[in-house]
Amino acid sequence: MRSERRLHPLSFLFTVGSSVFGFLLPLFAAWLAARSTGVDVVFGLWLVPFGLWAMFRYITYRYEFGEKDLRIRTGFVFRRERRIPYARIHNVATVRNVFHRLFGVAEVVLETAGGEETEAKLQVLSLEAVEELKTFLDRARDSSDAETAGPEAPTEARPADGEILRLRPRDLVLLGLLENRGLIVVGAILGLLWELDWWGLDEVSFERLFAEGVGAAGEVVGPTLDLPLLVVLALAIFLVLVRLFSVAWSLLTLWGFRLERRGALIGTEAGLLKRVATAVPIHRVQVVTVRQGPLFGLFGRVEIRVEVAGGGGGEESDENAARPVRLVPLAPEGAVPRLLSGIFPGAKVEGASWTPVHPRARRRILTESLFVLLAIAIFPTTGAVVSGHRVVAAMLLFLSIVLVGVAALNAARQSRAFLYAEEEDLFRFRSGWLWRRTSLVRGSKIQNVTLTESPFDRRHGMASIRVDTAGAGPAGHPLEIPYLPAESAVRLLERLGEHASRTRFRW
Amino acid sequence: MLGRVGDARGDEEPTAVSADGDASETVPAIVRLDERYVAVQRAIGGIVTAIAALNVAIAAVVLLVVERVPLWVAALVGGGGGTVVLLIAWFSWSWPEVERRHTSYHASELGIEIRRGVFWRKRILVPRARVQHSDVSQGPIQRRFGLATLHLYTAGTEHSEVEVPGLSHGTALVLRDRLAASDADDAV
Repeated sequence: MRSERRLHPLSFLFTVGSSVFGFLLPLFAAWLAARSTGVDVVFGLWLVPFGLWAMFRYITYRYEFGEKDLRIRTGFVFRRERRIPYARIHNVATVRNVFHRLFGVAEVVLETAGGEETEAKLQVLSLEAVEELKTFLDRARDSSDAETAGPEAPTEARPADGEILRLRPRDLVLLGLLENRGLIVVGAILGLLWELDWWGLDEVSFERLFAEGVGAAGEVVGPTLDLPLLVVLALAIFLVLVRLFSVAWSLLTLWGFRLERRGALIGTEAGLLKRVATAVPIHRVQVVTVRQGPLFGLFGRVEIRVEVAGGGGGEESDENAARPVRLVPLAPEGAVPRLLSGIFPGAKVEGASWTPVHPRARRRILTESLFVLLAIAIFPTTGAVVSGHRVVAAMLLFLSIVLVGVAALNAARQSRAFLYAEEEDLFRFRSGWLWRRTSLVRGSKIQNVTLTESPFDRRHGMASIRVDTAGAGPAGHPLEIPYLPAESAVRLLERLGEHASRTRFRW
Repeated sequence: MLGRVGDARGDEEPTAVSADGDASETVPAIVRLDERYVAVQRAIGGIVTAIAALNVAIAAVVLLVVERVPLWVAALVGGGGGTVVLLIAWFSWSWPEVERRHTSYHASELGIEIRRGVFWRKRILVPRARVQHSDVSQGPIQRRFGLATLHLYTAGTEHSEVEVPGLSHGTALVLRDRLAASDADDAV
């Protein structure tokens, strides 16, 4: 029985509330800094018409479950009906902050292939309505998947449903310490505090304080090192603040993190004040990347992200870009095979035999680094030498020598870090020695393959291969292998093409 | 070394494959750019050169008459601009032939492999099973020479659209049909 549904009566409040909140922070900051009272009047003037509009919107908003699509109707004078095919909805997210939980409602966000802009935001629905929507979408998606799957119904083994990962507060603290979130925010807050003259700090008193600080530091380490010491101390304090913020942020946004598998969906749920739950159909995952930065590596932890795309949007195929989803914010290295098999059903994820790139890659990387180094260093150094600043010139020369050493180290490590592996239907690629990234992609998700031979490649008998997938956003890990021996590259090109041809691509 | 991708030596013998449907053209498995492509590119290049020459002439005249610069300055500008125009003309004349020698399209059961590039050489392999849809387009100059460009659309991000220019109109249509006529259950 298809009938029209309305949003929850409190939607009006939430619409206004969320807009106000968006306004609030900059408004507050502006009010603090400017100390003018005109702001609140303007705010009040804006609030009334906006409130009326929000009320009106609630009254006219209706949605309905069509046979193949979700239909949303809004407006009275200017009517608009939007139809979203179920097959296009690739992510259903629910957001519940403190107020939502207070009133027993939730905001539902439906994402489609576009990725950046949501197709539909239902603000807000009662919890029963949310369940109804989810069940309906699941059922509709399963039936449309069954249609397109046809005789080739998924024969791969489906691992059991259930929880894949859960993060405890302890893990979240570690994550906060390892990450660097809040660099900008802490800087902005400090800047704001400076503007607001808190702690009674104005220019004069700050100069006095600074002079005192330099004097005190000078007493400890002597006159030449007093300024550097202060700088180091300031940096240290800044870093501590950033880390504290990062820990707080991690706890706030990832509290109670759960990653679980529900049939054909992979869902995450997290958040302390604002609880966000998202669900992604597994077959819409295009590429999985396991990342490990140097700090993460120090503690033997990794992060796993996936690139998701899809929805059957045939007409607007430029909307293929999507942003990567962080499925696993933090996990021990040893847990990777188990986690991957949860995300990548039926794939053999352990024991890969890795193939390295051309042995002369190291020399090439070094040469290219040296060129860059030379280009950067030559002007300052000759400038210093010519103008007679011998100390500076000597320092620059010393720095250059150090950098050459670093370049040599990097060339050695990086050339060994480019690896690839092929196994049945799974293609893997590794890159980076400090920031390690391993990506996995199935043949069915390979869209096209490009082999590129630059003039430098030609000189050395090398070539590079790049695998193109759907939804490969700029923030993802490009599936590119440089410095391959030319013949291996050609053969790899053909094999990847065969893998892709032998499989069907399904959004 | 990959070798000059445009060379016939080292590649397999081009086997002429009859086109599907009722197209009268026989499209070989390895398609070179049509000879008329060079003419088309040269025509376009000619237009660009003419515009550039016009700009230089106008600049020189304006300088001379309106701004009353000394003759030698105007001559310098004219000479400099003229040299640039000559370079453009020479480039427009000789580059298309070089491009043509380094471009080829290899159609097979797998899909289509586009080889192009003179200095930065690329081979783009688009499996037939991944072509979402395709277009054949013709600019006015192309139409005059009977050429067309085939556009292949995939779900990829870097190559969401792949262009195959320099085909005769008939060949483009045949290639499009051939690449689109996938098996029934290759539906997306």
